[in-house]
Amino acid sequence: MLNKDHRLPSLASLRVQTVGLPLLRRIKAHLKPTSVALQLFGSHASKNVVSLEPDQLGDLAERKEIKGEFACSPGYVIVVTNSVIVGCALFLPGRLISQFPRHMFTDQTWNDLLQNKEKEKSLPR
Amino acid sequence: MTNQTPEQYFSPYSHIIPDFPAFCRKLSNPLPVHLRFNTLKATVKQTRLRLERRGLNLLPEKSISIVFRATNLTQPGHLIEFSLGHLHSQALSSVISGLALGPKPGDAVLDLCAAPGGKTSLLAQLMENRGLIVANDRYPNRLIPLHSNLKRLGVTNTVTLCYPGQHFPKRLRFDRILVDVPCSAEGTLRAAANSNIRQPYQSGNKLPGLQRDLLLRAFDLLEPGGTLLYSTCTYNPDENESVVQSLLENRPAKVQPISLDLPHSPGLEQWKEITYDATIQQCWRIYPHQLDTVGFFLARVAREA
Repeated sequence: MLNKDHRLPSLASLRVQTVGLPLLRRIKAHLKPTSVALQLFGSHASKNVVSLEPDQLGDLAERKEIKGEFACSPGYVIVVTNSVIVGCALFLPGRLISQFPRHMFTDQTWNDLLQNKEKEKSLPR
Repeated sequence: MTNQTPEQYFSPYSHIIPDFPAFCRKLSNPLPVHLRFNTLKATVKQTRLRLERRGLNLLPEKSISIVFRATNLTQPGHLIEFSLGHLHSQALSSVISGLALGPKPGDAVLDLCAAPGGKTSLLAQLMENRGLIVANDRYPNRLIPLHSNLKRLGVTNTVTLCYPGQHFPKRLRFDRILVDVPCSAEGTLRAAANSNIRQPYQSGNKLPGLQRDLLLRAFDLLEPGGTLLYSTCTYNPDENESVVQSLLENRPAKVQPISLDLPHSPGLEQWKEITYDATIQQCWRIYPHQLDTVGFFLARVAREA
């Protein structure tokens, strides 16, 4: 995805490496939204949004799949935790499969996320 | 460098750096961690609240509402907010270079030496993801972190190219150009932590020639009335004022004042046997004992309409 700009044709003859932000990827016959695109535009979605607790999200990232039923249709869904859009997952009946980019989160990131959960639990409401 | 104290290494600059003893003392402190909040993905208020609820101590930076100094954080890359692109760890002086260039939404902007993309993404943020940024770097392997950062930070108005900057094609003219050139990186040196400084005099002193070629090409790519910002993270006048002087002698370029309210020193009047154009004093030298960040040089240059 790239903003429309009248100067873009001037670049056509140059050795362009990348253009804008990847919005969708083709997976066999399907189009999968990228996590980075969902982080930007997912707030406009009115359905197929799955809200996870941080420890569930940690499990999803670590094991690549978690079991459970979620109120959405089978297919690609938006994963949210603490009202923040994290990225894309594939929901099949009873299973949620991570579609997060491989290097998007490190082990330390998940530690930070889980520590956040503990700290937020201890905050006065 | 590792065997030299800051006083020894920087002694050639002792007469140009104000309060040289204070400068050397400052170099024994580690570089502070600065976080630039990325308003393309979350508001400053949201990100600040989230971090402070977890016990991070954030100090706002004077005059720059999107930058905070984190006093109890050593590895910002491990924050979930970093992975999600809500913030970027970036030296305050790097942010200042983007602000000094001052791109507007809708501008055509070139970042001539763009990798790893921290400043490119700042430009996109200042442009509210509108207009067009061409982010160029000559090394294909350096495009990998550039692409990664642009994606993580939600940049949608950027095209990346891979040309030697000094030979960048002249098929498009730009309203704003950032020329953040390869340099000897003396400004990143802090005695305790950083020993990998590149030695300009050991590299055959080739950097000023390359920097001059990059700046000349950047100027030739400006629209009439356009503005460029030349920056380095070094104190060496051969890579700073002398390069700008060379531009002034070869092109109809005009040095402009940088209208930001931050501590700095003016560009030099003289170095060795060279007396510089008087307008070069409008350039900025950022020293760590005046502003606690990476040492920097900034020159804002206009092409007359």
